Amino acid sequence: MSTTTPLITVTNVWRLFGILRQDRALAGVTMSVDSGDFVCLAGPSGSGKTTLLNLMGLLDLPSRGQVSLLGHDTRDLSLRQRAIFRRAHLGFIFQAYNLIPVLSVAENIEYPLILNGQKAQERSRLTRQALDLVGLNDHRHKRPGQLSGGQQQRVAVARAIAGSPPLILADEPTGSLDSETGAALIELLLGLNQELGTTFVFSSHDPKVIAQARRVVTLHDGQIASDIRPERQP
Amino acid sequence: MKALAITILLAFRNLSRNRRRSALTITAIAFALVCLLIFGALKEGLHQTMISTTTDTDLGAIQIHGQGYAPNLVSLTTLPDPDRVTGDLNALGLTAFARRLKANGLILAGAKSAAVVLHGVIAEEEQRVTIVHQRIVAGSPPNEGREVMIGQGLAASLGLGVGDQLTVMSQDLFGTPASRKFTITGLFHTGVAAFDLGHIFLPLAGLQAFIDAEGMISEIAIAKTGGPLAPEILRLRQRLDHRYQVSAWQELAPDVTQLIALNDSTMAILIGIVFLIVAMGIVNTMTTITFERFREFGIIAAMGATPAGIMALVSAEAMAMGLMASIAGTVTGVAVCLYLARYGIDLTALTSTNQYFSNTHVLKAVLDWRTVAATNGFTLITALIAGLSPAWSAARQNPAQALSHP
Repeated sequence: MSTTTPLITVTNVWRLFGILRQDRALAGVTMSVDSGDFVCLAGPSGSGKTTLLNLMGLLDLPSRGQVSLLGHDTRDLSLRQRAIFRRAHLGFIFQAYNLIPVLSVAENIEYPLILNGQKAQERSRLTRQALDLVGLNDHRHKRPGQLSGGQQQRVAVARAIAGSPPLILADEPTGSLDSETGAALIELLLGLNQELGTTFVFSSHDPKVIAQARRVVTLHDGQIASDIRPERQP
Repeated sequence: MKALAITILLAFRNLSRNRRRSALTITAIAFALVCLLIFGALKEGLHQTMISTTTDTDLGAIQIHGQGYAPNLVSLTTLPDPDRVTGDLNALGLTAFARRLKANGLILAGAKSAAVVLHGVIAEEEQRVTIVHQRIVAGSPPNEGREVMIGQGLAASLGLGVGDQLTVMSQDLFGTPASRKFTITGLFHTGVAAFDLGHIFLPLAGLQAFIDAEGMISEIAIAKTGGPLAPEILRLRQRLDHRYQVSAWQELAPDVTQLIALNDSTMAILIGIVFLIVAMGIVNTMTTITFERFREFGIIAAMGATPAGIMALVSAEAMAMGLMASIAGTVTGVAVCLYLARYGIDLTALTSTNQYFSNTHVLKAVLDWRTVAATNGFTLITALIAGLSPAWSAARQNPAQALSHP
């Protein structure tokens, strides 16, 4: 039995919406994610994947239940404390890239590093390193609007990994990409997971993407339907 | 690059996203600023014209009277020991003064008559304080005891001219009626109709002899010194004893002082209204911007920006807009004000009979750099305050909800 503390622990989490809290996005979800995991949250649209990722990323508060990150109970954290926790420990990749259009590629990557108080020289090094990893160093001065969708998503990956957070949450990272570019992106994330040991939790309903995950948690109607670790071919 | 630097960078770059909207908002704020600068400078010019007309026609900047003097008192209040006062004025360096004896009188010309104030003056001294002797339109100033100079308007209404005679009636120092014929040697035209119709000038010695007040004067008027009046008045009051009354023009012409205060109050209300409109414009723009970028604030929040950081970002955008409007408005407003300071606006059609426009009928702008600084300060503060509400709503939103915003 492992004695290490899981990176994320979600305990009996409910997320209810509506004036009468009549809409259940999550209903009593309990799961944990260990350091170094490469977890895919699978399930159809409306199954609760994004809601669960938002709760894990401290972007939302559960209606009931507890979310612990790196051993910290996050229930009593203020908006400010949650923001500080995110910038220190989490990276995000979104389906729609969500880059800041008025900043250059390099500035987009630097932005969270600036918020995290990194010194200029260190920021520059981390940005260059992250861009090298995603193969976009030549585009560092371009604005996001000048890049293709796949390139923008790689910039989003670079932004997420630049500060070397222990956990990266990705909501449908391949959702806006064609299958070839999507597969390449998942390969990139897998490589980062293996080389840097970064933990990834991402959502997808694409079977090709799901097939590349080392652990697949399937949600259905806000509840965990299955939690499996598929056998991967060497 | 520190967090503040990137906040400012983002603020300015965000303004370029919807250039037309930003330009319209900035132009509206800048236009308001230009209007305020021009109104303020013209108002200042108007006040200076009113003040100079008031002081240069008769009052001077400061007057010294005997204790108990009141502007509307009919009885003559003489100035004790005038030589001592003039000595003190010279010692204080206040050499541009005019000794005067004033009395109420009545002039008769055939079947016509008019009530006037008799001014006994020394022409050389009077020229250093007022403009009347520079505004002689016919003849010359009176030199002899039985000579008089009257206003052109008064002469016309009495049907008199240079060389004609008129009879002046008054009371001597003891209340005894006095009457004497005088010859008109000159006509003046100050442009202030009421003054020209109600004031006549005699040599000081002539009036003293006429009302049996040899060696006496009723007031000393002192010209503007260029500096602030309050210290000069303080020095005079410290130097002169209780027998004397030292008054600034503001006390002697309370109507002008009140009119200036009224103008200032009106301007303050106008400024308030303009800045309220400016604030509403900024709130409208910033609310639209905030609504359009809800999702982006969610991204920034996800990156780890605190609510205070997001609030600073939105406020910085409002401030950036205010700053750009401030620069554009100041450059344009100052340029227009400098033009108006040089060439002015000809108001002859509106002011030809106005008592506050004897010196000139061209209203020139007077640019006060303190007003420029204050107006700019108000613009930036208004921008900051107007941006707070949208900034607050952007900062307090749930990041997950913001990210799901279309």
